[in-house]
Amino acid sequence: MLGYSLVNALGACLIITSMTVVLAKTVRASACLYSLQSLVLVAILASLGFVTGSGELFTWSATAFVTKVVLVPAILLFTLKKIDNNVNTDLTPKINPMKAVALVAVEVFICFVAVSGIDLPTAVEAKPALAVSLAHFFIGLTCIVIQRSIFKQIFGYCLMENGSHVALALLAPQAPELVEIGVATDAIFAVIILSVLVWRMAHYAHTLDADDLCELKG
Amino acid sequence: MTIVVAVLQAILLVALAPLFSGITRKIRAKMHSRKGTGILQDYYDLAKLMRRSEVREGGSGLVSRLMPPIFLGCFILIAAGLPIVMLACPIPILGDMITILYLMALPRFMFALASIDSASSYTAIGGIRELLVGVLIEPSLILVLFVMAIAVGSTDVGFMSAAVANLQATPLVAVVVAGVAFAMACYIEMGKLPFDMAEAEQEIQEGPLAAYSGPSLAMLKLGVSLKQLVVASLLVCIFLPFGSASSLAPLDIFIGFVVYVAKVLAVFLIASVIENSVMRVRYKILDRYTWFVMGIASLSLVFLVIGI
Amino acid sequence: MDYTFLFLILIGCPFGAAILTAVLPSKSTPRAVYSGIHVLELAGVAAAGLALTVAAFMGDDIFVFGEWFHIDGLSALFLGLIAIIAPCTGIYSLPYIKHDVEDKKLEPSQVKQYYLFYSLFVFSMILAVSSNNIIMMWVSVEATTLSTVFLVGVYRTKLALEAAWKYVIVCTAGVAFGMFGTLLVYANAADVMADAHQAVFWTEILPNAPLMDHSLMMIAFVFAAIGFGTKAGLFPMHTWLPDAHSEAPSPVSALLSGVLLKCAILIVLRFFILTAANVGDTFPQTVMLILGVLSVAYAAFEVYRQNDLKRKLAYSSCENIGIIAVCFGIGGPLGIIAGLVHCIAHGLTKALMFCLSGNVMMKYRTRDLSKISGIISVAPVTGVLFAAGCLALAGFPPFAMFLSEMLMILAGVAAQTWWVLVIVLVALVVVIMALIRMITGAALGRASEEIGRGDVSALALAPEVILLAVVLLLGVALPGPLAGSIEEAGAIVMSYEGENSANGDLFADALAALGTQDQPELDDVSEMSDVSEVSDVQEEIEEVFE
Repeated sequence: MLGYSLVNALGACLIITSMTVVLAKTVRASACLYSLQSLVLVAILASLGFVTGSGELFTWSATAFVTKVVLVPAILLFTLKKIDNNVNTDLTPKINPMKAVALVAVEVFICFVAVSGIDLPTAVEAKPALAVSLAHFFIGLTCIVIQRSIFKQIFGYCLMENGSHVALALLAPQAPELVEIGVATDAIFAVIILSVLVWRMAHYAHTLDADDLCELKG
Repeated sequence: MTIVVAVLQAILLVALAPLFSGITRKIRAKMHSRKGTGILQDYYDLAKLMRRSEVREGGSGLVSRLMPPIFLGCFILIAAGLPIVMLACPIPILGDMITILYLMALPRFMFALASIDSASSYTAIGGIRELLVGVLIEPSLILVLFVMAIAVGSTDVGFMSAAVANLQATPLVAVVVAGVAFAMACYIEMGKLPFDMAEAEQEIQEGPLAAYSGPSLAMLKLGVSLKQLVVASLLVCIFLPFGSASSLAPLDIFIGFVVYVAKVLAVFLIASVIENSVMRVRYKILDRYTWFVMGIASLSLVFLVIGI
Repeated sequence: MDYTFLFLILIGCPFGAAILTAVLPSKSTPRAVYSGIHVLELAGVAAAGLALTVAAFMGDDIFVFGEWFHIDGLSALFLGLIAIIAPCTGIYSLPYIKHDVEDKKLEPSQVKQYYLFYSLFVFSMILAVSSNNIIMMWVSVEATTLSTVFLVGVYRTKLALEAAWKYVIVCTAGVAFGMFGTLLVYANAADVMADAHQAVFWTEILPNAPLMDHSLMMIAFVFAAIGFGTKAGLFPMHTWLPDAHSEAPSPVSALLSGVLLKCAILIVLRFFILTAANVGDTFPQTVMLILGVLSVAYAAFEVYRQNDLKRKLAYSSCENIGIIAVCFGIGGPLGIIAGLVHCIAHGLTKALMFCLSGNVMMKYRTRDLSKISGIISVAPVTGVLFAAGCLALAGFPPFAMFLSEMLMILAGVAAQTWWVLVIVLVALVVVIMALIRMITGAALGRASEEIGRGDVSALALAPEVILLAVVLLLGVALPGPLAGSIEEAGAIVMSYEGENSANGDLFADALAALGTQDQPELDDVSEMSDVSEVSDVQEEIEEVFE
């Protein structure tokens, strides 16, 4: 079936783009790549809409375009502009990012094994994409864990959000709009609040380095 | 008939190798805003070296003497077996990926052995650097070829070539990712910066070669250029076989050859540009790059398993 | 009876107050206006919340707006918790914030922010406990995180911001796991149910739960337990908890620890019920037991080790959440009831303790226990309350937590999970040691001469007295309706077993499992504790440390 193989191939693109988001050296590049990745997400939603014939999915892809391709990167770039120049936003990650690629591969594999046990009629055709969405979630978590710059940790959260968005579309194409609205607004609000917090951190504490922020211990 | 093709392409590659390394040198000179030597300079060098008499280090043994012919010979064998102008291997037994991997490992092994056989300590250091690069990158190469073997159902490079050319290699994304990983691995295998055997800093970088002179050195120099060409051809054969001859008709073969030369030239061009925009690094941090390649290779394996 | 109006008041008060606070200009509005709005809002929440709780206790199954909101016996318990603790801590906020402003720790403009997010926080918690829509549950839990970020980081010091950052990043990431779990449950239910739009309602999923895919449901439960367990502060996802609790203003810590953690537990419990109905109770119980025992064992030693008053209390919350998880993990009617009683008992006790820690900080201006001593002589009322609160937290009779911990031990004996009991009891002993040390060191001891004598204002003390009175009341005698509703809530949790005994005698069943005879009067739970020989064990433990 061509439709689902397209969805699956786009799922793989999602993994690749999310890796570039994690590996990008500057926040600005990450934000642009995140926008690109969300575009892939929109493509997945739209192609799923064609495959399943579900009208909701087209609405979703439209809202996802507005929120994730345009608004979220815009908010992040705006915050970046607001932050003082003397605060370093582009800190190197805690582990060699190149090794993170191998880690991602392992995560994708584990998720595939986990997903292969699932026996759900809606998910049979798109099992690889389901594994990808689950893995995407863990890539986001990896990003949060390995990044030293707290600004880049926001991207980790955004990636997790995208992962669950895909899973939602795959598993429940007929879901009511409310679900979609919940997911989309949550992403926006969370990103706004995280951005405000990052701005405050830069403004009051003059650092965005997670290693500097470990005075509370024990 | 295919034997003829094999012999012809081996001769052709050997003949072209100095030309390609000449071209790379020219590109580098241009990028450095130098005039540089002519692109035929490598031929002159080889001819001159062939006329010189052989001088050997005292204390070096049989390994050192055998290394240059084995080095060159292995790559000539690979060159004969690759599906360069056709979509199938001229000599199937030489086109098997396992044969190819071993034929690439043997010269490396001999090279390292010869470097410690020599009395000079510099050669040993240089040899170890070479060996290290090999150890770091070989797993990725093996992994990628393994992925391709599973994807097309055969370890024969010719089959891979044909499957990719007919767009029958599935799953698609896994093959594309494998191609990216293979291209990176090939870049490292070609010995380009930062993984190079450079012309300067003779003692360390080109260490093992320092102990040779005359015809042996000529063979090694030719072998090194041939290696670059063979590795580039490997990439072109497996992942970019579009345009190669699907039959033995002379016209097809001719077109295949022209397309092949164009593709390899493009590969060399891109490699030179990358090479001249990076700097040399300490061997200790080489593994950062190779980990990256390894990661992408394993990603392709995972995609293959998942089936996308 | 239609409760829509009452429910509208319940959610309308905090939401309206938030909107009103947000639109008032921060420069020109006097602080008293914000305080006024705040008090009115909390009065509304208390009145409507308690009315709804009582209605649910009387046996009404309340649905509002179709099936969107649902207050059954189970959520009524937690709604009641909100309706008592939120007003108490809210009133306590007034003197506390006033003190902070006078102390120059807060700027006047931040007062508006504080009350705004406080209202949003209460609003989101009410949504979380009363929602019947599983997606809505997740959204509201996420909303609780987002609304408390700026409450935790209200002081804008580097430490407070660090705590806020850890809190928001750990909890949003954690709750994203919860979302994944929720989605899996929804997709699973949508597949087996005729009308996919009904599959978001918890009450609609439950009857269909046995039909759903088992492995997917197990994955979903693990995700939900990790996700909402992060919010509840279960080890090893607890890392945000001590930081956020210690850096937040004390009334916020009280609300976080007293109510928010329990709301998260309620959500976990909802998924627990669905999963148990699907794959049987062994799997979810094992998950809860593992998380619970780890939390209790780890946090107990941290309680002992900490030298910061609020961090000590925060780790104690972690430990008590662990005990709740252990109760659910032990399972059986007794275990479930023990867990629910512990939710209430600990919520009230911990709210009291965090408010008291606020008093101590107002007097001593530090949280460092080595610098705090002789509270009783400095501020007599605070000191007495503090000592009583410590004893209540340690699980001494006649306070409420004694009852719930006792029930847990009984449940453990009935289920014969000896290894769990041994670990938990050892941990409890360590906690008792830590709290006794706190009484002798901080409450008693000799007061430094530099600290001015005199207690904090009566407005700050009143909520604490009320909280302590409730804790005492619950410990001495559970009021009949409350005991009945806990039984009913237990029955809702146990409903997966099929033999729905909503009005049955769960206590009687449970005690039958213990093998004890002659239980003539079971209505009054406090009597039970005298019966079993196990209570002797507890008494022995207590004797050792006195």
